[in-house]
Amino acid sequence: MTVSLPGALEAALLALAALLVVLGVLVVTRRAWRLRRERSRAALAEPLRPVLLRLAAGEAEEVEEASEALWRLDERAWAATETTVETLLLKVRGETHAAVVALLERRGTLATATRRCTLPSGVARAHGAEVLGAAGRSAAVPDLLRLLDDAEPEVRQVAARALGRVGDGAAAGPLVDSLVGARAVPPRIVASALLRIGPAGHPAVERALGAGDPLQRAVSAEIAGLSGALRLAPALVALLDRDPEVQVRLRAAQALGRLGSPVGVAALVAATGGDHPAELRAAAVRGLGDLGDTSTVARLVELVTDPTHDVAAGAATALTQCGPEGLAALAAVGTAPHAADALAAAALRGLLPPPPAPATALEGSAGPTVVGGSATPAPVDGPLPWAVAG
Amino acid sequence: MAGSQGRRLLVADDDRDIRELVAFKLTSAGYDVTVAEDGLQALGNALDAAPALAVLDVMMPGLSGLDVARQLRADPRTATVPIILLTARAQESDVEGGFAAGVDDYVIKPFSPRELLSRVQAVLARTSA
Repeated sequence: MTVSLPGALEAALLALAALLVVLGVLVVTRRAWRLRRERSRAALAEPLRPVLLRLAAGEAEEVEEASEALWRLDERAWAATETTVETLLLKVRGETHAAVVALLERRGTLATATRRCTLPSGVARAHGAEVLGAAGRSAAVPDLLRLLDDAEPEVRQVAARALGRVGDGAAAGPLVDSLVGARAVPPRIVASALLRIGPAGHPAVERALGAGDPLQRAVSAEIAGLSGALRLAPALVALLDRDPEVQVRLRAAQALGRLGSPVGVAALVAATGGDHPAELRAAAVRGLGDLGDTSTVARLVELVTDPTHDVAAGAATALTQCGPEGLAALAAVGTAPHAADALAAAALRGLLPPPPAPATALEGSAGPTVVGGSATPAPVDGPLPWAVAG
Repeated sequence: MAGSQGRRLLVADDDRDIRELVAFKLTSAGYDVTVAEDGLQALGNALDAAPALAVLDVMMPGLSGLDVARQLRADPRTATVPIILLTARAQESDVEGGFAAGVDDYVIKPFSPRELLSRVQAVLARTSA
């Protein structure tokens, strides 16, 4: 017997519809089961919240009692509250954090997290890394370093963040390495992790300032500045002077400004020269502002009338950061548009003295302190610096 | 605890764990604590009855902690209420913004409940002196 084509099509459609119905029932059943499980867990966990609060915020005796109570929970009750305890790791620090870690260690959560780091599921590996990082145990560094080269990008990112939380200097080198290659980690995440590691990671950051890849040099320069690595100022000067990549030089200029070390002054002034790219010159000017060194006032005054907008505006702002001497010099060139704007901004920030009352307050006064220190003092009855912006 | 009895404090944070931790610590120290889950609720609570001190999270839905601080400072009924900010961002600009908005102190998250209590006590002692 042969089946006609419309008949076969009808049978196929019926089979497909039946399959869809079965799939639909499965999805709904699974969701309902999950919802029921979550509700059941929440019902089990809710009465335990006061115990968790005593663990995380109680006095020493309360912490001990709460820890003991949570240790004695049966598996079902512990499973219902374990996730909340894990999340507390990211919300508290100090002795509270230590108490939570001790409980998780005792309940075997940290051992489970270590095992999860080797499971086939990426979600499980990421969860394992997250818990180990939040616990801040140096013993977890080898497991986390392995995950820094994981096949899944999300797992690598969680591992990088976790390494930052652990704060072990041994992770700094591999974190810098993870910036490049087929399994790279986004620079923002690596930079954040390196910042968390702090001075323990500075040797690796210093090595990376001479790395072959410009991204590694740029991120390292940024970290050196943000983390106050004063020892690295000479290496940053070398990058600003000679690096072939503008983006690296720009980061070095920013970093030297943030460090606030006089070591960077000459290199930053040199980088404001007209033969350099505009974005680098603007960054150097901002760096000089961050330094606030009065020896740079004369150069900054020259730059206030620079034809490049960012350089001129940056120079005017930088002068307001150089104390009374810078403000006086800026007031002297107050007719330049950027100078007027910067003076108005300085007045709003309270950097300029308040305007004196019109008549009697000026008697016996030589005018505002700032103007009094200027190379070209404003006459008492002439335009006042805070009035320049009009 | 001496000096804390009956003083009403306002705690605002959209994170239930943190809200309850802070409230638990302060209640244990003898303060009377009112909690709010967002900025708007915090502002309403504070304007209804000025608290002795407010602990405000920076990042809250609706009104941020900084917005609430500004509005409290602008209202004569709450202009002198001491404010402590809870901030997840240790960035300078955040802290600067807080002080510009008139806050008295700040605590960086993750935080130590014990340290927060010390800050509350210190700010209250300083502002009621």
